Formats: sequence, C-alpha cells, structure tokens
Amino acid sequence: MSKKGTILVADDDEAVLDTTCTFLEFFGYNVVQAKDGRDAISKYRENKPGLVFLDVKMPKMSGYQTFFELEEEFPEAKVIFITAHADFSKWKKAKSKHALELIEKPYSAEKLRELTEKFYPKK
Amino acid sequence: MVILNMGKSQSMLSYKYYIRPQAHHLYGKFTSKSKHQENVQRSLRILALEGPMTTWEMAKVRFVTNNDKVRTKEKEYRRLLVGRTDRGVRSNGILDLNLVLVDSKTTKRNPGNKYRLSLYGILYCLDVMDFNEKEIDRIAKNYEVILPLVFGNWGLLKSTIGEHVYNISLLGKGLLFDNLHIIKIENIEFYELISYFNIKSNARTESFNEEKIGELISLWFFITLLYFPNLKRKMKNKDTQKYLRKVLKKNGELNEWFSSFIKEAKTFYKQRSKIVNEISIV
Repeated sequence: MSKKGTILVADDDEAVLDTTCTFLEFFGYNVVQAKDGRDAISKYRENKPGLVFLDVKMPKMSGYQTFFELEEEFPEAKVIFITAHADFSKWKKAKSKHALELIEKPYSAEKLRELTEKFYPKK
Repeated sequence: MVILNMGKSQSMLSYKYYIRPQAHHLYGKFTSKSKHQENVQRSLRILALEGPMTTWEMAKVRFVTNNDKVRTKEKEYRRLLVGRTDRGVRSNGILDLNLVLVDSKTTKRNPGNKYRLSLYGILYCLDVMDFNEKEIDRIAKNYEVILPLVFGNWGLLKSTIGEHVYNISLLGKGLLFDNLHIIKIENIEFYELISYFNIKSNARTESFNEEKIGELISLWFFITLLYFPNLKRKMKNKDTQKYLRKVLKKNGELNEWFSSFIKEAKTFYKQRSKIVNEISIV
C-alpha cells in the first residue's frame, strides 16, 4: 500500500507516543518511533524522515538538545516540538534555527493533521 | 474451504502488546529480515494468498513440477509451522504463536493437516508484507468465512467506499486507539464509539473465540469509517457518518448488526451517566 512519507516521533511517554503514532499512521504516513533524544537522532540517520515531532522533556537528551544536534548534521530537518511545559527562551533559539512549530500537550488530533498537511503535504 | 475455529482466542490488546511484538521479534518486521524470517514470511504469504493448504500443497506453489524440490520444501514448511525438537531442545513453530491454525484434516492421498492463517495471522501479514490491492482482494476472498462482516462484504465495501476499504491493513499495526484519553478529538461520535469498542474488547477476554474476534475487528473497521483521514476537515457532524451510512444502507444485515452495537453503546453510556448523576457527595 502506498504511503505518503515517513515521520519520526520521539517521546518518552509511551501512551503519548502510541496515540500520536496511531493518528499519523491513520493519516497515511509511515511512522518511526523513538523513546529518547539519542534514539531519535539515530532513527533520523537511518530513515531520513520528512518531518519530526520531538517531545521537549525526554531522558538522556532534551528535545531542544536533540534538535540542535540534529540541525548541525541535517540542517534541512523539519522539526515540530511537543511540550507540556513551554520554555520560550529555548523555543526562540530553536525557532531562529528553523524549528517549525511548538505545540502544547494535550493537543488535538485535528491539530496534528493540520500540521502534517502543512509541513509535509501529499506528494 | 475455511472452517471457523471455536477454540479460545486472545484479545485484541494481546495482539497489539504481545503477539505483534513477538511476531516482529521472531518472524521479522516490514524491513530487515534474516533468512529464517524471510522463509517464515514466504510461507505465511502463501497461506494468505492461496488460503488453507497442506504443507505439500504449499511447497507445490513454489515448485510446481519438481517433486524432489517439493519434498524438501514440504519438510521445511512443516518444520516452520509445527516447530521441531532437536536433541531434546524444542524450537517453537508459527502455530505456537497462533498466527497459523490447523484448519482441517485432508484425506486426499496422504492424510495430513490443512493449515490457514488465524485472524491475527492475517493482521500480522497485512502489517509486515507489502501486499498490493489485488493481493488484499485475494486474502479477503480466501478468508471471508472468518471475517464475514468485512471480507464477506468486500465487493460491496469496495464499490461504496473505494480504496478506503484497504484501511483494514492499519489494524495490523495495532492501531486500536486505546490511549485516546491523552489527545483531544473533535469527532465525538468516533471518540465515544471507539472508546466503547475498547471497553468491550477488553471485557470478557476469557470467552473470546475466532468468531468474537472477527466481530471486534469488524466493529473497528466500521467505527473507523467515522474518522476517515481523507474526509474533508471541518465537516458537519452528520457528514462524518456519510461513508458508514452509505455502506449500512446497502446491506440490511450489516445495518442490523451495527445498530445493535450502537444500542449497546447507548445503554452503556446511559447507565454510566445515571451513576454519575446520582453522585451526591456535595
């Protein structure tokens, strides 16, 4: 079955990870899961996804740290942050380096769909 | 011919959290497969596309005329399916994870078992094998007896909802929507029905058999028609029911079956609402 493309989702909360991935799969994307920042970087290298959802607060490496490291190696990476505690100082720095968006938990399935369609539309 | 298996079956949550991860571990995912995993997937693919078969018939699919090769392959398939014991060490076969079942006995020439995919075997195949639409149509035809509400109405569904019929493959990935409480969702009809579906599919786990699991898979399929990714956003509520209503209108039995599920859900929520209404702490 044809897929629209690959999206990487990194979150240490398994329930959030599972639900986010469920909806993205349902929207027709191929989804790769990562449980922390390190894992996200290695999965990015392996899969070269068209869009990345990064949780801000993760073990081993925060979402922002992950982004800055990822951005050095892959400046074209498209990243959307997910957070329950918005830290705007770091978000501003990430935004200046072309991070796409910051969405707050709990977010809606419709928001997820809107963002994926906006930043990673159908080919 | 496929025969419905009335033995006990594991719940759909077991598929998501145990059977599927185990099958990925033992028999491979979509990508990166070992030689053994490739062989297992090849044998499952034959059962998916050809329906119930003896191991001899499976081997014949690969080597039509060369009987020596058929004999070797037949042994290999039998080992893969039923496992083996070598110097006292038992290696499980695909039957041990219930991805494949014994369908019936054949008495033709050499008596033996006919094997077929279980419902979870079908889901696993849809998850890890890159079937095209024609192949999924064949699977639907081969297994319509064990999933009558979906596969038994495949032609009707295809003519009504088109390519969305292939969304059944998504269930193979374990997309049960069982953690919906952590995400906001505008489509309340879908939210409530899929939530009730999850409550229903976790209850009475002990009494599940292939018929019940088939019904649950069918419920998932029809409920998800209320939340179609390809439906235009910002539709009015009644429009989200468009696809489902179209299908149900064309088949009286389906309509009756789904209506009884809706009625059951309504009773459940009514009782819950009554309990909440009767809370009088303050």
